[in-house]
Amino acid sequence: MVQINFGSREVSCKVVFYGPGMSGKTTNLEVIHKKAPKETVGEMVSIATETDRTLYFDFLPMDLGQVAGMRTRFQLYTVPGQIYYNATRKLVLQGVDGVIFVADSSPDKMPENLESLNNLRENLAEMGLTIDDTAASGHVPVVLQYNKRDLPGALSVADMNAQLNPRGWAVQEACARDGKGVFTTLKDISRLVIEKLNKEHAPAAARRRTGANLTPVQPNPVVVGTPPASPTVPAAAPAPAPAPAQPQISIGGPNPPRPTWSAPQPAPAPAPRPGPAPAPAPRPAPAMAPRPADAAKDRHLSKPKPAPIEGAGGLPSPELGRTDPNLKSFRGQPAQGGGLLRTLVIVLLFILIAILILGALALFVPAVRALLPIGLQQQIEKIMGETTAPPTGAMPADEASHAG
Amino acid sequence: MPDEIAANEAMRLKRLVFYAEDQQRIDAALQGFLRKAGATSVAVVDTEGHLVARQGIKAKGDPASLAALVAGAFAGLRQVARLVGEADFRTMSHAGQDQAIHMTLIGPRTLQVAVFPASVKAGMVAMFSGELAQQLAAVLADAEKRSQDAPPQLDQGFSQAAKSQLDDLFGNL
Repeated sequence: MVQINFGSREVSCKVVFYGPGMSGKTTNLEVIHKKAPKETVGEMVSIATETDRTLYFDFLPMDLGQVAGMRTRFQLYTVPGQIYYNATRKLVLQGVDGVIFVADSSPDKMPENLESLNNLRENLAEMGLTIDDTAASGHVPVVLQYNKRDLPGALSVADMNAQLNPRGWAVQEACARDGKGVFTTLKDISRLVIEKLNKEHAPAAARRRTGANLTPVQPNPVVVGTPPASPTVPAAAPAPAPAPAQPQISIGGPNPPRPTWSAPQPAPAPAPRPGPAPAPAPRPAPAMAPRPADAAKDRHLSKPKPAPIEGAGGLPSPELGRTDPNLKSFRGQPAQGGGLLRTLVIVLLFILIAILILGALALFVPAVRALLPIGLQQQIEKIMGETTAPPTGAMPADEASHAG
Repeated sequence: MPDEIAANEAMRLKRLVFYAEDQQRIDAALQGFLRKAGATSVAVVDTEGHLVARQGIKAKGDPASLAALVAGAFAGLRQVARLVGEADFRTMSHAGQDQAIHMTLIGPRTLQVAVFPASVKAGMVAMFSGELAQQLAAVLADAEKRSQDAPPQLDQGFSQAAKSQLDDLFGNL
């Protein structure tokens, strides 16, 4: 479910790449990470096995920047395509806003495409979501990407549509390995998600008629609409699952080469961007750049802008780290609550122990006793004499004989 | 299964709406936690992986990635809990050589994540995390009780502006 945060002026959407194993889902994400303008994409996270098969998911945050006063972000996920990872696919699908279904164009992969598409339907249905009923409240937009179009003997688009696309979803042909069709697919799903979002949160009809701008009922509303996570883990894997190798998590860079389909021609280098590519202004941070002050946002809120809340919302902007300049002084220190009382008690205990030790020394060590005032020395000697001195004139017989 | 779907649908439609006051309460609670527990940073994340709020010193990694991975880890842990007969495991802790992390589930759909130096006592962080979870749960409960009659609305031009932005960014790719 799209998260809308009017407090920090941020919209966050979740798009999932779905499809059978080895159809090119992770390759799509890698191409986006590699080719998209640097200021729009963050770090790519991949939870994969040693053989680079997706174990849990790949993740890539994408930032469109300010859109009509709202910082708009897409979170791109892939799912593991292998059939025995259905439990993790369900987890990744939670809260999905749009699906890119990556289908393999090879004729012998069509059964796997169909099985994966049905699996998508089933998993969404468990969450009360659907890709088929556009009128349903839980409708999730979907775009089909027919990948590996360069394969010899690839099925025609008409044939693939006949089997996969009776609903007439948007279709893009792609060769993800070469970057072809990746961004057109991404743009298609982004448009569909945004259209659905705009439809759900469109201004009231009366407001539209008068042309008035958006006015939240209260300042800074934040919507967090989240369907619950309640998929059930299948009781048993449908097929004997080979034990997955040790998982590897890589962050911030493209994965090492993944096993891919056998293409007839050697892998060409990614084509340079045609035409005068817009040179994006470099930003200091390679990931999500700080939200610039945008005067336009005031045009979209008729109420006066409330005082900014430090660190509010989910913006990973540098100012968040500066909200409390004294934070560093608290690092590694014990809790502050009750700290003074505890220190006082410890000091008193030390003083008490020191007095006891000094008292004992004064009792048993004459040199220490000599340091005390005369009156106190006499008192101590009197006490010691009463307790330890033998009775006067009663020297034992054996001691007397030794003395003699 | 139908009951589960109905419950999911109900919760999906029952949106949480936070207002400025709620957000101030969340931020104040997070800042108070940082001061008391000695943590480096603390974040509130929803179970879908969206970052809701964050306070503290910015870590080296992308907070969006942290949120996604934490949500994924907790989603996996929830399934493990169900396999052993629990509805949820409420907390999860990991300690490294220099840094440690403590995660706490708040209600069914929100998580809090505290990052702290390994030199800080984990038990103390866990104790103050419990206190923070109670404070945040109160904010969430208040938000849930609030009327949903007037959902927030996006600007009319949002959709068109987003499409233009997409063309600008990816038009030549």
